[in-house]
Amino acid sequence: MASVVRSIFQSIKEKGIGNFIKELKQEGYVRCLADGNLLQTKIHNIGATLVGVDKFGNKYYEKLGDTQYGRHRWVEYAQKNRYNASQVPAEWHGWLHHITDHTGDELLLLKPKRYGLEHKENFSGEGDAYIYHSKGHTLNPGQRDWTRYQTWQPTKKE
Amino acid sequence: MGLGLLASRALRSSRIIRNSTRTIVSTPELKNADAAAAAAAADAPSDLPKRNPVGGARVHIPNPDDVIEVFVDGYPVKIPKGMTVLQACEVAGVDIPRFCYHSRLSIAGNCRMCLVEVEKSPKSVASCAMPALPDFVLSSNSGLVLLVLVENQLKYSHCISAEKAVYMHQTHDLQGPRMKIKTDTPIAKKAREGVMEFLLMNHPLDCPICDQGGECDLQDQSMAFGSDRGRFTEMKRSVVDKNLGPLVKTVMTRCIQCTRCVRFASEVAGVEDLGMLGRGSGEEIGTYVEKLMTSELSGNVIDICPVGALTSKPFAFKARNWELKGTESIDVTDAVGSNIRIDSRGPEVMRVVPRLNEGCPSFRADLKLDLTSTLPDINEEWISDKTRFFYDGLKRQRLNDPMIRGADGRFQAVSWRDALAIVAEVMHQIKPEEIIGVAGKLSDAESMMALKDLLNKMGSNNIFCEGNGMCPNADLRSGYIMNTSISGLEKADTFLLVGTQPRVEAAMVNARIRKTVKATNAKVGYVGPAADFNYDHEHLGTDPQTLVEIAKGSHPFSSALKNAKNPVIIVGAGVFDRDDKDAVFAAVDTIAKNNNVVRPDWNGLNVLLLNAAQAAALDLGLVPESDKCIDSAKFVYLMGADDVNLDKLPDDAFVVYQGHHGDRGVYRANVILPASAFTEKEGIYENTEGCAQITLPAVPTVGDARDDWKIVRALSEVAGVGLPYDSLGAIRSRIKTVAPNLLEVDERQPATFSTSLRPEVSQKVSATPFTPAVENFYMTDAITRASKIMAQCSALLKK
Repeated sequence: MASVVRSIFQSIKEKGIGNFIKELKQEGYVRCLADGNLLQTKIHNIGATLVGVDKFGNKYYEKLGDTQYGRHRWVEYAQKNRYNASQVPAEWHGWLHHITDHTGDELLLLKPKRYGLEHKENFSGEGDAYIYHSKGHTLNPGQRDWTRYQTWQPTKKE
Repeated sequence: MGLGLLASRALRSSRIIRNSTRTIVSTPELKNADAAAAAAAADAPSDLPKRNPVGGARVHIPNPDDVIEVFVDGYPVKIPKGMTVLQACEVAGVDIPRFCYHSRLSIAGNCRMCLVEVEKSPKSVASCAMPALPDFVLSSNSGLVLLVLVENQLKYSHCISAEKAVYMHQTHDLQGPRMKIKTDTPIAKKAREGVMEFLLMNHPLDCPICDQGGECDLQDQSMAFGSDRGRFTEMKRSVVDKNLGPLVKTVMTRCIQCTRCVRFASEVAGVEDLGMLGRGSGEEIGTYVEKLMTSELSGNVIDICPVGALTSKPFAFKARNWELKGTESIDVTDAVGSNIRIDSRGPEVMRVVPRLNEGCPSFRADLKLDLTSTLPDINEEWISDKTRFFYDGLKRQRLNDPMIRGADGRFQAVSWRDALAIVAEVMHQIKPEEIIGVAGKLSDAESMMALKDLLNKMGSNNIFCEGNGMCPNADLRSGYIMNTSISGLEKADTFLLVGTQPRVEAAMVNARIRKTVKATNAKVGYVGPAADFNYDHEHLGTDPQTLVEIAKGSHPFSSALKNAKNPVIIVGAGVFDRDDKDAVFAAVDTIAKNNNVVRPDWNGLNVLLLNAAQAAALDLGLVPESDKCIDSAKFVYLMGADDVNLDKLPDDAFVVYQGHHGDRGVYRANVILPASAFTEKEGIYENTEGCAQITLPAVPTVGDARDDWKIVRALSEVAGVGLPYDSLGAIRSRIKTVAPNLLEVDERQPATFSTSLRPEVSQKVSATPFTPAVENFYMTDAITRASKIMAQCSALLKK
């Protein structure tokens, strides 16, 4: 605990009080007060090794030794307000779920780009713009034209 | 080692011995011939449950002396002489599998699928080629080598034809046991299984990508009669595909050489394009030289092909047959009124196929079957290529919104209310005699009735149907319909075609004439411009003077007419547009009178109409008051009329076009009212032989379009002269008061009075030669002109 307080004072000295508070907000420490999940992750992070950061800014931690096996890898999401498991991209998914020991960065180096689409998180329940509409649905902007006939186009003759 | 284990071992060893023969026959009774024979004897005829003939076939026996009796699976069947074993089986209610046999084509007997067992014959016989014989047992191989047994003793062993065998029977008065046909014995089953195995040897297993899948005879019959496994391990043969033109797609590897298409082309279509090349495994159907199939009936080979070798090119990979909804309807692209089935999926017409319609059972007419029925017998089971492939025109150039031409000459879509209000307003400002109405080629009887009533209520009587000319004679119905009826043409022995080219005007009528010419060597004389015929004919002349000569008896053809038993005269509807049409018809009447063409038992005087609407229009009395009405018209109501000549119409005339396609008519129009096409509405059409038939809606209407008669009814309401009918039933009862024959649907109504009641004409025939009535067979009306397939056909197939 003492080391934590010491490191806090050290960073205040380095960055100044204004920057320190700004960083606290960005890192989600302020949000911790309201969000127990985040607080627990932050506490968990103490003494853990940061294995990597993906393209979205999610941080992947690992702590071996005194952690319960199966709970030794976790992610701290980049977004502190709205986070869910679908924000983990495919390359980190395997590492995070103990499918592989290769980290996402290693996987990206290891193989040529295989995934056709950019990873997109699931926006279910996030409003009309994010709801899936079939190709025949009126709310689908690229709605398919189901008209099966061509109309006569009036052209001026003579 | 327990007993059970011992027993199972014994069983296994015996099974190994049995399997060493590697048989695939699923009829183990064959192994034990005695037991099978005993079983066959056991089910002898005593009280068997009643069976019904296949497809409701009826047998009409004209001469009771010609009846013979045979046994089919123990059932006694009475059939007329000359029937084949296969037909006898059908009468007995047994459907024999077949590929090459087709009731409307000659018998080939080459697929061997119809093998049945006949008692006392050493081999199973091909039932389609084997005549059912009365009193002695024949065994034959393709009907060529015959062993004749009388009372179980061999009397003759000759190499004779089946006809001769029948003759021998008639002359020798032989008595003996009845022919016993067995269709469900182990031998018959094994024969079918073996034939099916041979057929499938070289047939590709590509049903999942084959357009015939789901309606394939080979697929069905291999399920019903084939084996559950194959033994063929070698490579299958492959055959190069042939290019038969824009309509028929070929995948010749799938062909099983039934030769139905070859026989159809040479016998029905009258083109000797297709043939069989090579022998053995190199046998293939082809055109020998690269050549398109130039027949107006070529699409029918798609229907008769029992496998997927010949399929429809425009329909290729578009739909599966189980996705389609079939609607039984009527074709309106010509005056024949072919019975069709419109296959649709959702809002789209996917294809058009013929509907079997015949007054007689599905046997050949030469078998003296019942032909006296009044049921329509219009297109047998063929349709022309135009009927089959014009359907893509229904999806192009459609009118879907009411439109008004603005001051700048451009059309603008408006609401129905505005469009009808403008039409009604203009109609009231114009003098009644300056209002004219023109019904189009594709109009149904209901809408023509409504339009005539509307115009009459407005005070005008200038209404006519295009194609009928400006002064049609609608007084005598026999003067504009085909009095012989289409099926009646088969009894004729001499034809005189006047100014008509049936091949392009009515392909199905032409097929009937060709059938007659082929069957009875009937003579055909033709007066008109040089034309394409697919049967022997005599070109007598090009102008009406020839008719006068024939009427006088000075022409060589008049003797042929005089000697004819059942002469037929067919006048083309193109004559209606001639100035001297009364004189031409008078000359024809004289010929008819001189040659006994119209008798109480035979009426051979015919008019071959061009359009679906013509006959009904004349029945309803769509005759203009004056033949110059267009010259002074100020308001023209075109109800789908695209081919009416509007050159003489004054420039300030107001033109309303009501129709379903943006064709020729819309360019002169001031207001466009969108109507539904015949596939989208219910309507009565009368064909050229005077048979009223009904179309049924297969697909929904397009956009804002409405049924023709509803538009006219709505307009009458807006104009303040409301017509007294609000439903189809009500408008039909109105029709009933004018032309009751139009409501006798699917029943031909012959004309009551003959044309001899016509008044004398003083007109003289002119020397102007007859002109062809149809320029392009493939494009005759608004729908066919919009069709891409028809455009392709006329580019490729019309020389």
